[in-house]
Amino acid sequence: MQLTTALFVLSATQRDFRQQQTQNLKIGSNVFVEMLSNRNKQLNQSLSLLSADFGFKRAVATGEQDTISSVLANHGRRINADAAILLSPQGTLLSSSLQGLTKANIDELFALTKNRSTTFEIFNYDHSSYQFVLQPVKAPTLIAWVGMGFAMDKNVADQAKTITGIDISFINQSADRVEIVSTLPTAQQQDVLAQMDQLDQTIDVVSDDVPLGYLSTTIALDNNSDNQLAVLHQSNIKWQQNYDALRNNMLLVFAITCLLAFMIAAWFAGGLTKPIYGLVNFARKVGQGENPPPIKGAPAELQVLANTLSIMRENIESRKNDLVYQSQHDNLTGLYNRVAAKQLLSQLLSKMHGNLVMIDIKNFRHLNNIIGFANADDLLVLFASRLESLSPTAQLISRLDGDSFLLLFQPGIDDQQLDNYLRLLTQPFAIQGSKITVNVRVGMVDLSRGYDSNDIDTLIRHAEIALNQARMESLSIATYQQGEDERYLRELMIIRDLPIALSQGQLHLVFQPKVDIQTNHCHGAETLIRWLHPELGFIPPDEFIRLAENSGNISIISEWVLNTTIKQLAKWQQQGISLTVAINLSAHDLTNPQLPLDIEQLLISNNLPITALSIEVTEGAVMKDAQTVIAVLQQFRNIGISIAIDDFGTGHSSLAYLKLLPVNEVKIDRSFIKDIHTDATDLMIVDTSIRLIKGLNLSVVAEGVESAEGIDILRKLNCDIIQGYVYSKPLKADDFIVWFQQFNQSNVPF
Amino acid sequence: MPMFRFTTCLLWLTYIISASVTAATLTVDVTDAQGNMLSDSVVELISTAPLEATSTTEITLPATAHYEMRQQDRVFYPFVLAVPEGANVDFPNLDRTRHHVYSFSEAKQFELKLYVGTTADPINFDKAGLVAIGCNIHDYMQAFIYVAKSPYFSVSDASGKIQLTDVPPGEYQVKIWHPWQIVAPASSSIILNDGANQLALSVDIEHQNKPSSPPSGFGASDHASHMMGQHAK
Repeated sequence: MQLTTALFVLSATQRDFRQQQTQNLKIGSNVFVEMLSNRNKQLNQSLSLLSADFGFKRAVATGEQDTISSVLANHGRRINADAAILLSPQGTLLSSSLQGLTKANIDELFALTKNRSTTFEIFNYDHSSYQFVLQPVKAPTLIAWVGMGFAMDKNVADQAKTITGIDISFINQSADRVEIVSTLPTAQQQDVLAQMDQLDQTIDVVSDDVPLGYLSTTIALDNNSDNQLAVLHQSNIKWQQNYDALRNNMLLVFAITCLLAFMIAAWFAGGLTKPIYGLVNFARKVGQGENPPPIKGAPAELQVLANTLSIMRENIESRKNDLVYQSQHDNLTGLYNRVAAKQLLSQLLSKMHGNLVMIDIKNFRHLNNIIGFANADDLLVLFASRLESLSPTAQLISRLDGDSFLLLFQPGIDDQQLDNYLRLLTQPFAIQGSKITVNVRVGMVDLSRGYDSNDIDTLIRHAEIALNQARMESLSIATYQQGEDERYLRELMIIRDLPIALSQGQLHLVFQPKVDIQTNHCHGAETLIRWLHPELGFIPPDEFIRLAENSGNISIISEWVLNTTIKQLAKWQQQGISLTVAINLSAHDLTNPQLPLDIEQLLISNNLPITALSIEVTEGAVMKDAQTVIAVLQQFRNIGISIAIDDFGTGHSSLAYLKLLPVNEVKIDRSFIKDIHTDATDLMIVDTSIRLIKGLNLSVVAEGVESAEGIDILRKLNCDIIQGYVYSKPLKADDFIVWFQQFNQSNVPF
Repeated sequence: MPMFRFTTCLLWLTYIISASVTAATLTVDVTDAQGNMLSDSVVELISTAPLEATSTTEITLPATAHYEMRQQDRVFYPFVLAVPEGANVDFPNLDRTRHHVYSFSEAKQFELKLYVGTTADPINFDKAGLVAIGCNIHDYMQAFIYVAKSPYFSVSDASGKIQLTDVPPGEYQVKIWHPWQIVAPASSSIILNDGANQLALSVDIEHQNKPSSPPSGFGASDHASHMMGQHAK
C-alpha cells in the first residue's frame, strides 16, 4: 500500500517536473526566437540609419571599391557588425567584407531584400552563422543594398541565456565540420557534439540527455537546411535535485511507516495472534476429546473466548461423564446395570474365586399390581440401597433388569452368611407408611468351579439357571449344579432346532392302534410325534412339546402333525384303507376359531370322510380361554369330528370339564391303568370312572395297557377301547398299516 | 505649369526652325501598359538618316534657355525635367527650409549644400544621361533631369501628350523614358514626313506616388520609407 502510494506520488511528481521543464524549455525557445526577431528589428533600424547616412550614400555612389569597402567597414563598426556587403539593385555583389562568397550565397542574401519580414534570417558562411539584415541605399533612388551580418557568437549566446535562463548552443554543421558556440561548459559541449546526428531529429521536440543532465529542444535557424541549429538546454539538475529530495523523503517516510507497521504487527502478533493460536490449539484438543490446560493471560476479549471454551470443555466432559454413568448405571436404583456388570465382572474376576449371587424378588409382578408401579419403584430403590448397606459387602452390586440383581462376593459367601444376609434383606420395607415384606429367591454360582474369566456370559447364565432352578423347585437358594447348563442348553437347542427339524424331516409320525376290545377290531390310531435329532438323538415328545408350548412354537408342530396325518390318511384311502386317526391339539390350537373349518376343508380337499380324523385334547388346554375353546370344540362337534379328552383323572377338575366340554370320548390316564391287574385301588378308580364316563354317554379309552389281563379286566369293566403296548407300541405308518390289516384280518370281530 | 512653358518654348523653337526649313511635327501619345495617359515621360528623337541636310542655320539650342528645378513646398518641380546637353539648370529654393540638393548620378554629380534662395551659379549638365536628384535632409524629395543628346525631345504632359515641332523630316530613333519604368523600353524608329506625324508609345511602369511633402513635424518618417524600389538606369 505504502509502496504503491509512494510510487504513484513519485511518478506523478516526476511527470510534473518534466512537464514543468518541458514548458520552461518551450517558453525559453519562444523567448529566444522572439529575441532574434527583436534583434532583427533593432539591427534593421540601426542599418537603416546607417544606410541613410549621406556620407555613406556618397561613398557608395562613387563606386570606388576601396571607398566602398572602407565605408562599409567603418559604418559596420558603428553598429558592431561582423560582416558587411553591398549589393547592386540587381543583386550583384558590389563589395563584401566576407571573402569568397559564392553565387548561391549572394543570391541567398539578395533574397533577403525581397521579403523583409520581421523574422530573422541566419546566414551560413564559412562555418559561421550570421544574422543578416539588409537595407536599401537610396540616393535618392535605390542605388545599392547594404547588408550587415552579426555573428551568432558567444555574446549572443550569453545574451540569450541571460534572457531565457536556459543554456544555448549554436551549431553550424557542414559536411566536414561542426562548429559549436555554447553557454555550456566544454565537457557538455563535447557531449552535445557527440550526439549531433540526434539533434536533427529534435527540432521543435524535447529530448533528453543532449547533453546528459539536460532537457533540450532544437530550433532550426536555417529554413532551407538543418545546418544551422540553435539548441536550448534546460538543466535537469535543479529539478533532479528537487525530485531526489522528494523521493528520498518519501522513501524515508515509507520506510518509517513500514517499520512502524511492522513493529505494531509484531506487537500485535505477540499480543493477539499468539493467544489466537493458543485458542485454536485448545479448541482442537477439546474436539479430539483431550483435556488441555486452560488458557490464561490472553487479551480481554480473547480471554473471554478462552474461558468460554474451557467451560464448554468442562460441560462436554461432565456430559460425557453423565452419559458414561447413565450407560453404566441403572436409572432407578443407581446400581450398575447389566452392561456395566459384565464389564466389571471381567475386570474383577481376574482371580477366579468367590460367589456370584443372583437375587430375584418373588412375585414381583404381583407385588407391582398390588402396591402400584410408583411404590414398587420406591421399593426397588430401598431394596437396592439395602443391598449396598448389608454385609458382607458385595464387590459388585448390579441390577440386571426388573427385579433381578447380580452380586459378586469376593471372597465367597458361605451358607450361613447368606442366610443372615437374606434375612436382613427381607426385613419389611416402609413404603408410604405401610410395611411391605418381600421374599427373594437366589441363584448362586461357585466361582472356584473352574470357570474361565473371559467367559462372563457363561457365569451369568449359570446364575440364571440356578435361579430358575430355585424358582421351579420353590427353593430360596439354589446353587448351580454341574450339568444344569447342559440341560438348559439342550432345551435351548431343541427349541431352536424345532422349525428346522420340521422342514428337514427329522420328525415323523407314529401311530398307536386304538383297539375296540368289545369288538376286537381296530378302527383307528392315535398319532404321536417322534423326533430324531442329529446331535441330541431321540428327543422325548413330552419334552419338546412342552418346550414348544413354552416357547410358543406349538402351532407349527400342530400344523405339521395335521398335514402329515391327512396326507397319510389320503394315501391309505387310496389303498382302500379307512380308519380314524386321532391327533393331539394344544391349548393354543383350540383358541383358533378358524381351525375346525380349516380341518374340514383339508379333509374334503383330500377326499377324506370327516370320520377319518378325530382330535384329542388335554384338560389343561381349556384352562386358558375357556369360552373360546368350548366354542371351537363345539364347532368340531358340529362338523362331525370326534373329540377325546386326554389324561382323565390327573387334572384339577376333570369332572367339571366333562360337564363343560363337548367331548365324545374320555381317555383314562395310564397311571391308573398300568397296574390295574394288581392294584385294587386303581381297579376301583378305573371301574368308577368307566361307569361315570359311560353314564355320560361317552366312550372310554384306557391308555397304557401293558398286560393281557388288563384287556380282560377292562373288557369286563365295559371299557370301549384300549391303547397300549399290549397291542402295539406306536409304529411308523407303513409298519402300522401292516399290523392294522393283520390284526383286523386275524381278529374277526365278534 | 513648368511643362507648359517648356512646351511653349519648344513650339517657339519649332516655329523658328520651320521658317527656314521644311519641318515635321510629331504628336506623341504616351500611355502606360494599361492604356492610361502617362505623364512625365521623356521622348527623344535621335536622327539616324536625315532626309535633308540641315541648313546652315545651326540648331542652336539656346544655352541661354532657362531651365530650373525649383524646390517649392518641399518638393522638386518639375518631377521630370528634360534638358539638352550642356544646359544650365538653376535650382531655386523657394521654401523657407534649406535643402541639400544632391545627385550621385553618373551623368552629373553635384551637391548644393543646405542653401536657401538661389545659388550663385546654375549647374551645367554637359553629359547626356539621367540625373536623379535628391535632397539630403528630405529623403522623399526626388526629381529627375533627363539630359538629352538630340535637340528633339519633350516631356509628356498630364494627358500624356508630347508635341514636337520643327523637326526635320527624316528617319529617327525614338527613345522613351519614364522614371518608373520597369525595364528600359526598346527604342523604335520612325520616319517623319513633312507635316504632322502621329505616334503612340507605351511604357510599362510601376505605379508609384509622386513625391509630396509630408505633414511637417516629427513622426511622419514612415511615409518616406515607402518610397522605394525605384530603379535608376
